[in-house]
Amino acid sequence: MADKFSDVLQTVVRDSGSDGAILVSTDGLAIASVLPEDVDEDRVAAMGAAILSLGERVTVELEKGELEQLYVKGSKGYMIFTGIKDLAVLGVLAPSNAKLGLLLMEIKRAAKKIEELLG
Amino acid sequence: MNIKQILKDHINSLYSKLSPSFISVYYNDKPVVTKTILSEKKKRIEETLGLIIYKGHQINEIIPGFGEEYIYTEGEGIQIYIHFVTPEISIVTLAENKVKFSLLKLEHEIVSRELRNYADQIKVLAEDGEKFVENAVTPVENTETEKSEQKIIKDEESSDKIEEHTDEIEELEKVLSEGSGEKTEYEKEIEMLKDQEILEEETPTLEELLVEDMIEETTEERIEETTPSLEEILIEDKEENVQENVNYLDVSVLDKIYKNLAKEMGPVARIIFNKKIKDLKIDRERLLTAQIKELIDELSKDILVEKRRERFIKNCNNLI
Repeated sequence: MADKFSDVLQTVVRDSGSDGAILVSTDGLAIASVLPEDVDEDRVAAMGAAILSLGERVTVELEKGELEQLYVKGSKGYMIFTGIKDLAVLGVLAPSNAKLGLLLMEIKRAAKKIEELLG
Repeated sequence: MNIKQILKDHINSLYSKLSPSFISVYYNDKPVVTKTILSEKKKRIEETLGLIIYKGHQINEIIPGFGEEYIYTEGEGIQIYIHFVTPEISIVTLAENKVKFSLLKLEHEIVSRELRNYADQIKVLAEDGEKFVENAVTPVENTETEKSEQKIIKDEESSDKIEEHTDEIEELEKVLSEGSGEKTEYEKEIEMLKDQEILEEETPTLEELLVEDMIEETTEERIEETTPSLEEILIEDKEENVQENVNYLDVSVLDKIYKNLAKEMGPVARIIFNKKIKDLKIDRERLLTAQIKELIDELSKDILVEKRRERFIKNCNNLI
């Protein structure tokens, strides 16, 4: 199963031109990752789950349901976290010159595949 | 023009163009000025958004020099946009009326360019502890007493503490007996404390200090060298027993409460839990039942789903 997740992550990294991707459980633990060597997988995992969870607190407070996606844009690129039902979070790191439209499309595709794998 | 008025004007400008439900200027993770129609939920939303800003900044620890520019998220019927004016200052907008992302970004960039000119003034305003709400009166969050207490705590933490009297006396005795020309730890400390203006201008000599320490010891009722009488021992024992009758809870109860919270809240539980421990000033080595009850009560308020809140309270009440 872990291999299948890794395959999906490698596909999204390759096809979208991003720097890395990670699949995180809702309690902030990494399930699979394809990240640059100098990036701490555990920290990305914990942060991704936490930041999306915090965003959801606001939406639940306002009775607006779930958050689909959250992204942080910096001078060095993007960090995009996508919720997969309430099962997992897909995190993608992309450079600042990434084509956002293509990136979001590939992320959506990958999220759907992961949802199927998670059942 | 007054910085408050400047901030109000910019907030009002954004408010009129975007019609958000909530808009606020933050300094680090604390709101400085807020305009919102969500008055009942304002405090909780402010806190959560502050935590999101804090988490956003943590990305710099994962990817050094990440240089966050904005955070954006949307769900059904809601958008949250956090625009970083400077690393410390951000504008947070919460819209329920489906604003185009490009418009959100553009309007915030325009206001950001203006606010950057007032970054220092915003910093001063934030550090004064003043917070104000447009079109509403809110109490000043930091009272003078709290501010001065915080300053004292800060000073203590940033300076080296004077060691316990016994250590000082040993050091002094060592100096007196050795008569070394080199500066002792004590003398170095005196110099440091002088710099911090804690001590008076005339530094007492080592001998004077020894005498002072001895006087202080008696006034502080430290244990004397002479053997206590049987009566004194019995009285001491009685006092100890009285103290022992205060039942402190085991520190593991905190771990269990945290785990219960994490089950209901997910990864954000750690942040909320640590914040509450700090806010309630809970001493992990002297846990009282009343404190734990208060902690459980406060934590439960942050669980927004009723069923999960009830389950958390039930599971925690079983622990005490």
